[in-house]
Amino acid sequence: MQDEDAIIPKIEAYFEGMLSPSETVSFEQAMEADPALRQLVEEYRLLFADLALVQQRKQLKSQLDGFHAAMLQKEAAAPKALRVAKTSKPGFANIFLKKYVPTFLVAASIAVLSVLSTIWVLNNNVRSIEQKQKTDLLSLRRDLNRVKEEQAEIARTQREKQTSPPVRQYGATAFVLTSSGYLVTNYHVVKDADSIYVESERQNDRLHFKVEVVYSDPAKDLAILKIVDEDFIGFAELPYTLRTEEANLGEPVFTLAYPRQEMVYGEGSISAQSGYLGDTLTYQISIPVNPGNSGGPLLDAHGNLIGIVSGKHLEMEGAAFAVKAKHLKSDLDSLAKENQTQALAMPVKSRLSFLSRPEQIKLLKDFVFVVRVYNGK
Amino acid sequence: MTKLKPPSETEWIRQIKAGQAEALQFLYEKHFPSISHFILANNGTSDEAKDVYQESVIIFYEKLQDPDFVLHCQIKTFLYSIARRLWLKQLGQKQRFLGNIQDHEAFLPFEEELSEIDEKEARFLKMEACMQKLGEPCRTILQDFYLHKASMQAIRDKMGYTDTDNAKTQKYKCLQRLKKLFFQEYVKP
Repeated sequence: MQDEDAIIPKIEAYFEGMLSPSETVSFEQAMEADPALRQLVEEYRLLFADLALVQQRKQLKSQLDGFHAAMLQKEAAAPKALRVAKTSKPGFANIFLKKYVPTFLVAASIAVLSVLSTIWVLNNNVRSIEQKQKTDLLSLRRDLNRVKEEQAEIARTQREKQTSPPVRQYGATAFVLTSSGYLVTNYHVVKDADSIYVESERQNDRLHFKVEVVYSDPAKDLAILKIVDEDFIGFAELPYTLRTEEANLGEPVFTLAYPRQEMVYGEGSISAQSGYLGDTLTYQISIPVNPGNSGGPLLDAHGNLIGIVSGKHLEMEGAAFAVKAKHLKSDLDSLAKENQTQALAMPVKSRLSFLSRPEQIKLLKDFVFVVRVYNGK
Repeated sequence: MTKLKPPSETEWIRQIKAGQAEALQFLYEKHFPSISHFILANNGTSDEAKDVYQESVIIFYEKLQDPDFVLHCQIKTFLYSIARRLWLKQLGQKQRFLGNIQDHEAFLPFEEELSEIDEKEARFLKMEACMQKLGEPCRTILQDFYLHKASMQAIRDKMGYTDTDNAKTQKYKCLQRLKKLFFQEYVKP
């Protein structure tokens, strides 16, 4: 390649299209043959492009400055003209009034109307604020056949009457509390249930049990289920234990649930020690959850149960809530008192403490169930 | 100005693309109040309103130069969205952001455009910085020639060179120095 000093004028001429056609061709051929030249031309291309950008912006900016000054001048001129017009006639005010009384009346009536409607709107809003806050919290019950049912409903109205009432079906998650067949899920999952089943996939086998709600606590959003199937003999020994002391902020946690047909694992951490609107019954957790996650167990790094996933914030990304385990404990105690039975014993020692996460999940997954809720109303 | 009331925004855009200063001026005056109002309502001064608005108009103008560009919203919405975003960024930098933006127009996110705008802004600032670092007489020569489009003769007279060839040689030397500065911190776009 030639000296850079000598070649720059040619490069610039090339970019400005000042080379003759034959010169252009030979220059391009030279570039083809010489990678160093090609590199140099490319560098100048970038440089010239940015120079052109700066040039265009500066020029445009000074043009806009001109527009701006002109605009300000016009604005300064306009009110003066108005002032002149106002003082030009002596009886101006009278004529003005006569001419514009109808307009004033219309304007006044609109003003009154808008005041009234504002009051009405505000009233309505105030009343619905509480309702709005409630709707921010999404209960994670999966509306399995809502669409199907809506379609069916349309079809039904077309066919006039039908005898059997629609059956609603919800899906959520529940997990085992004792090997004798007690499970826990959220109250909102089972609150209007006609019949409830729990299901779980084991290797090639599908477990399917009918359960009944034996204790429900709407305030804490907990419901304890008992398997009532005659075939049921009992679960294996639970691998996890209940941890009733408060979890620490930032503690890593994970959950298993059935937001779809297959079990889904989610992990995150305790992001606040109180939940929705400062609710101290729950933790706020940073785990992405979806409808169907309701009732899933929330476990700490050692596999201790510290909560039950219950809902998420509709307008906040990555904020879910879980009922604290100590409230589950108190519910279990009062259930035992009610039934005059022994306390529903949970294992004292977790068998998951020092296992890797996949090993923990292998042991855990047999104790997490899909809840299917059927509702004939 | 009265004859300049085109039937549609497409017509405006065509005229601005064709380089008609009147169309650009009309657009400038029409949309300034809305954006000025936004900036003033959100903790800004009228000078800041002018700067942000002009920057938005420049961005709009540059977008129009791109033959592939199709405007999918009103000009007003485009300008407002861009100005809004620029102003939010400035507020953040000036630490004057109060966390509550008062909007009175619809706006769009323009994700793709924004990264392009940021990139162009970075290029612009970098070239300006390089020019500043360049030192005299190179800065004046290159600014006059490339940014103010002055002729070589004018530069020769201004800088006191004996003939235009000398001036040209000097210009190319300066260009090489600028290139060196330019690529010292060059990051591939």
